[in-house]
Amino acid sequence: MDKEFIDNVVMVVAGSYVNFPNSDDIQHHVYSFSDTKSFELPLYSGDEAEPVLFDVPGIAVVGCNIHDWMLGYIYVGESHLMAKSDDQGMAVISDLPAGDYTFQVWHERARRRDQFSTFEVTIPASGTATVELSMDLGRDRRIRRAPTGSGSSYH
Amino acid sequence: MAIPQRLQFTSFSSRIIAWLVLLLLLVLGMVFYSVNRSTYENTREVIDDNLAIGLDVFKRLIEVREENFQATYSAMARDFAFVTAYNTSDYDTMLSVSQNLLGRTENADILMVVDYDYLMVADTQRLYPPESDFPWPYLLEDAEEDENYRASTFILIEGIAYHVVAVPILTPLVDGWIIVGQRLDTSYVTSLKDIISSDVSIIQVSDQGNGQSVATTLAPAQSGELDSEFNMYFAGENPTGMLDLAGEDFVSLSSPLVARPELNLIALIQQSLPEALAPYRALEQRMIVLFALGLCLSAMLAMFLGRSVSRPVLSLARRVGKIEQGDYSVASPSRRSDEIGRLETSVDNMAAGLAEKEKVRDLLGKVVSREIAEELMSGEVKLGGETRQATILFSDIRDFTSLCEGRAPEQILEMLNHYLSEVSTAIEENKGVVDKYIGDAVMALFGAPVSGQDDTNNALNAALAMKSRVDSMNAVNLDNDLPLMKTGIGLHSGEVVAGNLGSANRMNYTVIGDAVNLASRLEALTKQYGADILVSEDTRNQGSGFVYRETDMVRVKGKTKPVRIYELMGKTGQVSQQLQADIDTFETALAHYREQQWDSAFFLLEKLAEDNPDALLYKLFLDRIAAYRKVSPGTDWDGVFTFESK
Repeated sequence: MDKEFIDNVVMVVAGSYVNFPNSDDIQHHVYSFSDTKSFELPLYSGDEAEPVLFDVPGIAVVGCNIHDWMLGYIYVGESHLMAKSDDQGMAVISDLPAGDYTFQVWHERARRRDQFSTFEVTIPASGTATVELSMDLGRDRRIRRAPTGSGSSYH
Repeated sequence: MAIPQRLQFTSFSSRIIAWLVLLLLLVLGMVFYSVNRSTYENTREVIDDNLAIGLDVFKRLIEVREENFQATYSAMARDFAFVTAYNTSDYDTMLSVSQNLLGRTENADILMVVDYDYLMVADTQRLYPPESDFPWPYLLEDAEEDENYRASTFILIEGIAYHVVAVPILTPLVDGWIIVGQRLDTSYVTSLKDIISSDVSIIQVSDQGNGQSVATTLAPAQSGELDSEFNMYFAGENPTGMLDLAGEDFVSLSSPLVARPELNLIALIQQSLPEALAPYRALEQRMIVLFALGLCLSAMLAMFLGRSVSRPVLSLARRVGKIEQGDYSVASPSRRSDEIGRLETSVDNMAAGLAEKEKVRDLLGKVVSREIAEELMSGEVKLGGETRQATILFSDIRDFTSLCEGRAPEQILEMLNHYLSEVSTAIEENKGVVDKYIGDAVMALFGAPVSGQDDTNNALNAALAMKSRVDSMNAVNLDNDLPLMKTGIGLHSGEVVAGNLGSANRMNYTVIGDAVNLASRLEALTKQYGADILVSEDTRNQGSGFVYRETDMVRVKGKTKPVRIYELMGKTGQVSQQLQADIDTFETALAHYREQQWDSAFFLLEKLAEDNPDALLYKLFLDRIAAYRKVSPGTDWDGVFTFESK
């Protein structure tokens, strides 16, 4: 929408399909070259595009060939045991039995060396374990949105 | 005399020339110098401006190229086919794609594709194999700092400088870069030189500050020196300087292209100062020629001017010199109307005046003697005179009137003039002054108007000279059947009054006094005694070196005092022995005569008369003795013969 991927980080379990509806009145050409999933949705509008199957766990970086600043991430998790942080930066994984767990954190702008860094947590029997993390984020690896002219359609 | 004068005037001419030339040299020199200076400064200014403009052009060109590449290759980097190929990681394909891309762009010389790990993917030069480290990571580091992930810099590959631009490859994340570059080689700087008309050099500066030219438009001889001439002077605060390359001065402006630890490149824009000054040199030469010409012309003019003054002045000097020596010839009238002309006219007038004076003096000298003329001209001409000591000489020709009989007047005059000339010459030769001619008689003065040491001796010498000349003249006359002239000369020395005698309008310079009369009487007596020259006792006593015969003691009419008279025989040593003997004999006879010893006297005199039958003297005395024998002169007789008449 408005030449952006809305909700640009999408979390799916491996084997899911992801739809890429186009709400703009211009066409987009969505693609990804990621190992996780290389695909291409040639220029389409509306709901013309087929849903894409993401069956390999990993990260797929999605972009639009026309609008080169458009950037989206598909996080294909191995299982449903994953959570996306909200506005406050809280991510909750529920239904976990007590025990020691190792978890990874992924952020789109995390430095490569920090990406998928693992942390240990022990969930006590009684319920919640809270882990506070902070990460140094790198630069946004996308280029800025190109300046537009007076309008995006012909009169 | 002429030469020093000439030198003086030549130096006047040459002084004018020298001063003029000096002045001109000064003025021209100042003009030349100031033109020189201002041209040089102006040229420097122009060069400096040109260099600044050239540098701006250079920088702008780099900028434009950068923008160009970035625009072009950003588009290319977004090409889906390219991006797809990039993701295949097939190096050969990437190389092929790169080469194709490169081929499509003008002015691009290299193209490299690098991934996000700074590893080489493709290199159109094939110098850096895939997966080797990108040699210039700082470029990519800069790109990562940029909001558009772009960067540019200068790099050196195998000694050649490249201006490179990095544009990101998006997949859609920034996943690598295309690096495209243009070679800054000789053709690049040459094309730049074509635009800005200045020499361009790109110099790599080492850590120690040494320069090494990477590309240059300079000639090899100059660029060789460039490396050694260059120093850190240029890298810092002083962008402009002068470099001496192969003897030519180059005004140089430097600007850093890239100053990193890894690479330090400087652009040098230069213009040759001599080249820029070349058109001025032509002007300079023309100026020099003109100045030299002007100088020569002025010198010639000055010379001409000097000559136009010095020549007439010199000729005037010569004229005055001639006048000094008595040549009063008048030159042609002056043609000039200027100051020199006025001088010439004045000199002419002066010459005429002097000539007139000389004529008058000459004339006067001819009418009276030269010395009298001088005397007259020197003082005020008025009546009256002064008393002086002088010797007066009178002479005349005996029986002149009978000589004249039967001869034509012209002949007489001629004879007379000849005689008078001879006699006058004899007088003047002996420093005497002819006072006047009275017919055939001559009156001469010795000691007036100017007196000297030897006046009396001069007079005596003159008398002898006169006699000798007349003798010679007579010898000639004898041959030519002309009458023989006999002269009688009388000399007396005494006090006279010398001065102008006559009236105010008509006067004569002469001498008067008793002495004059006596001299005249003596001359008259010469006939009676048969002597050629009779002198008075005073004259005899004042002179020296002469031989005399005492002739008599006389009392002339009108005077009471008796005077001894002597006959002048000749100079000492020129009288013959016989004559001397006769003189001595007569002296003895005269002594007897005065003692009234008639017999003794008679005896001697008779002998003398016998030996000298022509001599009147002896006969005279013999007659006297005869008369006295008859009538005794008396016991108180003083031996003086008194003349009753003149």
